Amino acid sequence: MSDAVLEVRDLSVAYATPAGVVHAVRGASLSVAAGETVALVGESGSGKSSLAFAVMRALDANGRVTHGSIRFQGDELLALGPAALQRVRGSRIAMVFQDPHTALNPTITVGEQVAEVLRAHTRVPRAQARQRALELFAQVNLADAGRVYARYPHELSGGQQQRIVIAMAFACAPELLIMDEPTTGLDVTTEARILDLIAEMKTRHRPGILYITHNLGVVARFCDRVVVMYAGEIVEEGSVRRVFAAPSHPYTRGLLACLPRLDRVKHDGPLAAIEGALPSLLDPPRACVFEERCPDRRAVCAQSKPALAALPEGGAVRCVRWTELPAFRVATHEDAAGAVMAATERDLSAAPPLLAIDELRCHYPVRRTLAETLRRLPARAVRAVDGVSLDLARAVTLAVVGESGCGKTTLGRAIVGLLAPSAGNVRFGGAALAGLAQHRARDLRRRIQVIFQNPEATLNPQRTVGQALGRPLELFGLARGAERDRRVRELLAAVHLPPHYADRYPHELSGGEKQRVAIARAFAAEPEVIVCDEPLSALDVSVQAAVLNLLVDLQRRSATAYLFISHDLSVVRYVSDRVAVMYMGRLCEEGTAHDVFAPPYHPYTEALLSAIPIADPAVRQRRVRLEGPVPSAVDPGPGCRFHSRCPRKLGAICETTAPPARVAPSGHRIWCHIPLDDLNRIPPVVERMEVAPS
Amino acid sequence: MALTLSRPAVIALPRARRWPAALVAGVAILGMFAIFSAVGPWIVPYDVEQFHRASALQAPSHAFWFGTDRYGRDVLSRVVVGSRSTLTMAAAGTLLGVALGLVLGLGSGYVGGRPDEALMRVMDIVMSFPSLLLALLVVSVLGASAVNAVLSIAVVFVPRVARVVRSAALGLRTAEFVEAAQVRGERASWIVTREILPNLWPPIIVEACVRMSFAVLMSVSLSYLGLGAQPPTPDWGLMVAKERAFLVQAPWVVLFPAGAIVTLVIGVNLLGDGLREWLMARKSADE
Repeated sequence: MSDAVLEVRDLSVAYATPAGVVHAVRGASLSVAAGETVALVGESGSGKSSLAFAVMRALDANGRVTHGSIRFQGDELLALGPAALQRVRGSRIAMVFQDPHTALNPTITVGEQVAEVLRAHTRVPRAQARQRALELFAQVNLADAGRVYARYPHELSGGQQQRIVIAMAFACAPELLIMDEPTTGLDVTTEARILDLIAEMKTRHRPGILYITHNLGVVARFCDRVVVMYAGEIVEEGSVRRVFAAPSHPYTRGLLACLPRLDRVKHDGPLAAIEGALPSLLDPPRACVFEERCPDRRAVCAQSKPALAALPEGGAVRCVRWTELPAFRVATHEDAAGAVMAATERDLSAAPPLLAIDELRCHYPVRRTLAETLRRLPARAVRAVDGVSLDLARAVTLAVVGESGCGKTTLGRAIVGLLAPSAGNVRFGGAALAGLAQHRARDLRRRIQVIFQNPEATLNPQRTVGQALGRPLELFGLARGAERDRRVRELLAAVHLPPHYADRYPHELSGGEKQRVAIARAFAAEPEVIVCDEPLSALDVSVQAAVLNLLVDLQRRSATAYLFISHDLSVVRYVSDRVAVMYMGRLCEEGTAHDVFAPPYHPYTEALLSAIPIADPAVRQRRVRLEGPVPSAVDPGPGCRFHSRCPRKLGAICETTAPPARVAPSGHRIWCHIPLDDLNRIPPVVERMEVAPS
Repeated sequence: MALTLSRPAVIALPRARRWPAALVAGVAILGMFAIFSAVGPWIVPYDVEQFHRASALQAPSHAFWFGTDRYGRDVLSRVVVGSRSTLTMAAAGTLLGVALGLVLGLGSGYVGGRPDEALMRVMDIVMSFPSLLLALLVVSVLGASAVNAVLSIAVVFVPRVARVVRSAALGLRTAEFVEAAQVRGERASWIVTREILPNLWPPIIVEACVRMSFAVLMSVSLSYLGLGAQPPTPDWGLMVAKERAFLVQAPWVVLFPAGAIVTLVIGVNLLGDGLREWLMARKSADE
């Protein structure tokens, strides 16, 4: 491969830690050709970021390249001195990181930062650098480039900041671009636009791109080749088409099978989770790295490390048994008994509501400035939740979907009693719920529990798992003494953890295990409603599937209702019975999951569905993109909240009048000025392309 | 052709130390003075009150390792036994100050809002007085004695400790495990003592060590000014104050107690630094 921009051969990276030497990358080889986009995919701990940092020669102080070669355009990068490296980095090799916030200097205007990159590497005069920076801003679709040029990073939205970072990366027309999760912190609709932009910049400048991500949907959307890493080794490599259609390594197959998909719901059966955990990289296995967790392992797998075997259709796989594995197929909704599911949905919607939210409003006052106070202007308020009415019945999962700032988390916090609503009321089992948890009766508190997003913060580091699980049992008078210990063991068993975990402290647990304990803690109180606030978004995909299966299974056994707050529509499609879509504190659409994911759509739902990255190259999404950032939730105006970004805006009526609820016969509600008949005519956003088997 | 870095990787990688040197040195120095203050009177060669009139102001010798003062008292014995007065005053002042500051900071941080604002402004006012001036003020109001010196040290420390504890508690108040406790409806006292406090010990311990080194300096300063330990108690501050007239003629009478003060302060500082390093290393090892 003489045309390779980047050629990594047999690379090993190790880190010194107090616990010992972590062998993060072992014997990894990959190449990126000019104009090619190679995805480097893996979960946390796979070594994908270490590999990227090694290429940039930017490993942490305790990390070393212990073996191997990294060639850039034929030159050995590992042999370059600091000055030579400085000339290459930033101009010929550029990098885009996950967090645009830390990539930009907060004290310099963004325009100057881009111009500075140009001046440092190309010695162009100041005026010309400015001109070029403005051109780049136009290329990355920043409206009003001249004004953006003079802005500081904090004056721009996350999406705009990432556009600046991308402009900076392309400033010197790099031959190689390394992107480390460039869209991970962004909302889906913003992510979709950034991915469009990267694809567009790619065709214009044709650099080689090494795209590091954990999101297989993003890979399917615009990469050419995929390299899959697991526990520091490359386990599979090949074209995107081949890897998604016929993955050869059991790990790749497991990853693709465990993803929640839009064509699969919980009634179709559990997701195919990958059991077990990553092996310790302090002492990596001598044999196949995936052997411990592999569903297809044989005795031979534990004996020696498989070599990377070339595949007939191109690419390679590190598995001895790949020829013996059956053809890959993901179970879909069509495979399951659809009739059973539909019946269940009908039964559930007929049940009386357990939790009834009526016109709930949560407004936070904004502190007035001195000038406003002196002029006696009234205090303004952020309308985080602004008149939301929802019902939740027993054993039902109601998903609340929306992007950051839509008020979904605030809604959840108001229900569990972490903040008091400003108006409206919540009734639970017929009785009104007081605002804050401390004012609610003990039994009401017991019946409403919560699961938080961040497994690292959800457990007190100073209390054992047993203490964490035992406390709600004691507090609510459910069990004491030996009976409590027995219940703790039962709870651990229910979340598939061994009983000796009761004596462990949170730092001895993995992220997925912590989240299991958090789930067990919520169920310890024997609740009737659990508010799940993004319970999966901090977990790796393989762990996510297992936790999702657990939540579904526990719900089936206990008939607990979930208020499931999430931004991930694939997860929502799988787990929910009913879906509510929120935008800027108001509902856009509410109905059964089946109704919401099919036309008629609210225009916002349509855009969301178009934006989600789907890990299947055979699926086509109609392109609907939202322009502009989410507007401020302070004084949003009388009309439809979505009018400023709506691609189907009718006209002045959208700005002046709140949209009416259009109610379909099935009870599906859409708040829009467009009549239901017209909404009905919108074609589906997501369609599966029938591809002829090759 | 592949370039192979032939360096033996595992050996080239720096290994993180388990016990920071500062911690070991700090514990050793503080341990020595702690032993002196506990058993000093029984291990010293002479009684601290015993006058050797014939050998007054004698230079360090085989008989008197640190020399003698103007009454012919053995300086070594007085320095060793004198550690009790300084160490007790400093430790008691620190403990009292940290305990009070902990309660105020914890309450203020958890309750938040207006009470927090009000209390912190009061703390700001107290903190705006220079430490020693404030301590002098307290002692001169209450009267000169070792007990009042301890109280004055505590008064000086309370606002500083309260600030540190409050900021740590504020950070934990919105932690998800605390919110989970609020959703369960735990009482505020339970949340503060069981959920928040156990996570505050590392910063509190480090802060206490920092305070302790200031406490040593303040207690000897107060004794030096005649507001702390009272004669005839052997005390480093008192020794420096009473014998300073002989500084030129017989420097050992001042240098040895002063040296003891410096050693103790350095020891406490090393202990604080070492603890901080050790606690941080332990935390990162957990992650």
